Amino acid sequence: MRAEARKRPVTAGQLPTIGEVLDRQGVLAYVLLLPGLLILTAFIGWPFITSLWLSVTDQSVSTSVVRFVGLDNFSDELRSQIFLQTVRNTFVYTGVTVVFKLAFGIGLAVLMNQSFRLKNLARAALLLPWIVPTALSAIAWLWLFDATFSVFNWAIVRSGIADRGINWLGEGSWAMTSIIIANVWRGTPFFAISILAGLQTVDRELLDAAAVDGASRWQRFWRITIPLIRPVVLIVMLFSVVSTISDFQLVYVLTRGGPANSTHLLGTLAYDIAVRGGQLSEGAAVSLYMFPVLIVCVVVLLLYLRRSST
Amino acid sequence: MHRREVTTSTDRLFSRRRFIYYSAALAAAVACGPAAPSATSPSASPSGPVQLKGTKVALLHWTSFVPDEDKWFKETLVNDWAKPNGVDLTVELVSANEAQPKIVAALQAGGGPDVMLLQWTWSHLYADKLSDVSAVAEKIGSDGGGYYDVMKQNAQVQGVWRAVPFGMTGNAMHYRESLLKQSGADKFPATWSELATVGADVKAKSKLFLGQALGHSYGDPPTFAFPFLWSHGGSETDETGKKLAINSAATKDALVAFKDLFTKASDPQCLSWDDSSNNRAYAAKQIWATLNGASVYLTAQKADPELANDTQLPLLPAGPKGQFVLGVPFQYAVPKYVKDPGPALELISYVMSPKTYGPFMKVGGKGYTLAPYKKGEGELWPSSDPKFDPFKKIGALSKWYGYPAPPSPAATESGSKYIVVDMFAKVAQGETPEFAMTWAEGELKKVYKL
Repeated sequence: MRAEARKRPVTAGQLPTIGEVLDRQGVLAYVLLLPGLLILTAFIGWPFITSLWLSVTDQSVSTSVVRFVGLDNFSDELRSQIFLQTVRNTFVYTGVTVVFKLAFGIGLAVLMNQSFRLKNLARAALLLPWIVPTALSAIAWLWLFDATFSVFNWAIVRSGIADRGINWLGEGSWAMTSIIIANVWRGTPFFAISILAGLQTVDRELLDAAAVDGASRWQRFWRITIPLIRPVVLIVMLFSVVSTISDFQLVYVLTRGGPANSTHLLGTLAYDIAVRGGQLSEGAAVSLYMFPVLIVCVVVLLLYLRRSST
Repeated sequence: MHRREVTTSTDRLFSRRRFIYYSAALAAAVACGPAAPSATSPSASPSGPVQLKGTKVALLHWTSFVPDEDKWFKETLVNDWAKPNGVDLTVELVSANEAQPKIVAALQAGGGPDVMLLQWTWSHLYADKLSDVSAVAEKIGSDGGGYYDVMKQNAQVQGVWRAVPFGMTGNAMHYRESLLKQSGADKFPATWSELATVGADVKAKSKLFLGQALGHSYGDPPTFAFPFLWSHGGSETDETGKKLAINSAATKDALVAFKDLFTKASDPQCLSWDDSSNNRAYAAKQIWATLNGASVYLTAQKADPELANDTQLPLLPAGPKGQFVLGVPFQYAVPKYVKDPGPALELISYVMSPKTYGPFMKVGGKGYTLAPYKKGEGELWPSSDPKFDPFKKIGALSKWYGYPAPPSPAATESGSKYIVVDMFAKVAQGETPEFAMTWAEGELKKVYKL
């Protein structure tokens, strides 16, 4: 019956049935894209457009009448020492964590690429830091770094390394070090698993041939393995930069940007200004300072993917 | 076009066309389904008698550091007021640091709780979006013997009550009497300079320090930093709020005195402390004194009676310009998006009437939450414990964000950025008072737009 309907010839003046319209690949493609497009528009596109609009107005939680102020919010921020310190913090935090995550990620991936007993269990366990919700793992780190109850400090003092423990979250540079350690711990598995997937695509014959030609382990790794997994490494790094530069949860739980703003990131500062201070437009401007960096990352990623696919 | 020649039963059930039909039908059903019931069903005009039966009220409240207070809202209020009146009351408890995101989201979205508990000077920050509750506020204030000035300043915006004062958490020093006496002192220091000397002695003898939170957290850091600044004559602005006053000789005196106190009697780890760090440290006997709400003492009464017995609760010491307190005030607000504020106002009137509030103070914190009106320190005083007597002065001594100017959105924003707290923290980290003052002035210029 349905097959007959499908084959029914469309005569002039007669509208096609829904089934006939959906049978056209071009139409169907857009219909299938529509739900995803709606979700992206509602939860990413619309908030983004709203924040763009907010950033050029003077809207606060208390204002009913909103005025257009151009780029004043952006230029005002440049006069704030807190903002400038936050920008520095954000770049230090992102740069240092990505480098460490890359180094540890490659190391772990190479290790996991070897054959040993319980390999699969080890690979699954490797993912745990990444799977655990960030807020939960951050609370665990909060206790590890706690000024009074830190197990690290207990070990330092008990082992005789020092008379007193480290002021992990109470001293500017140690506080930054602490959030970097927690971020590296959480982010390394993502690097490791992605690079492990890349390592498994490396042709063994190439490595064996190089070994026969007298290449050392290091030479094989550096001259053959690394160039072959470079696309994976680059993409993972770009993803990591995007997610780290916009980090919020870890810092919010551990330090809330303190002490004296030494761990504020753009995300936490924007939250303090917009939500706690009620200055929505100013908070939007602070968060949008991330945008140029993120857009560069995305463009680089897309260009690389396009080049790889061609 | 390629056509499938063979179809299975699964194909027929989940063909792409059917999938789209079902998806569209589901979306249409959701879109056309019954609308969610409104938070409050209009049943009476605000001016007429309020019909409570069958109404719904959603209350957003903070999670107290004293669990009995939460229990009172969750159980006693529901059983004593909501059920007899036929009101469907929802009480949502959130921690103090998490309340503000919910409030901002509700006000921006134009929907959410019918009654929200605001903190500090938030009434000024959200004034345009809050209903005028003057009639209820005035009646409660009158019944309670008059509000303290701090409560009026926080809840009244340009002569209009935008919130009804709920009360305040009274902060006081908690210290271990035995350790103080070991150092040779017979009573807690009355001035900051004496505290520096005595604190150094106690630290030298007991190896325990004065634990003062100076991190980014809503309560203990500002309730220490602002009174310290005010008691030396310093302030963010002058009385008008239109001229910055932070870069002054008085502020410098405050920072120099603080540096002395911090170096001699405290410890750098306090720079990372939030509102619960000092509670934990005091309970673990890692510090000998701290500034906190009475929750430290009340918790110790149950968990460690020996520590509680050894604990005394004086107010903060005075500086050259007097003794100050930054109490942590709370107010009930009814957002303008609530179409029928009647039931919400009835709820507030019930909770805040001296008849209800007196027993609440006793059942709850027994001095943890202090009444916003003067009967609270008189006939309603909840505690027979003489250690709480100093708390009776807190209402009168308390000031607000922005003091000596009236509260303002700028003062609230400054507090949210922890500018004054960080000014002190910078000195504790080793910066000079001049550098810290200049830094704070730069940030305050931007906040106050001066």
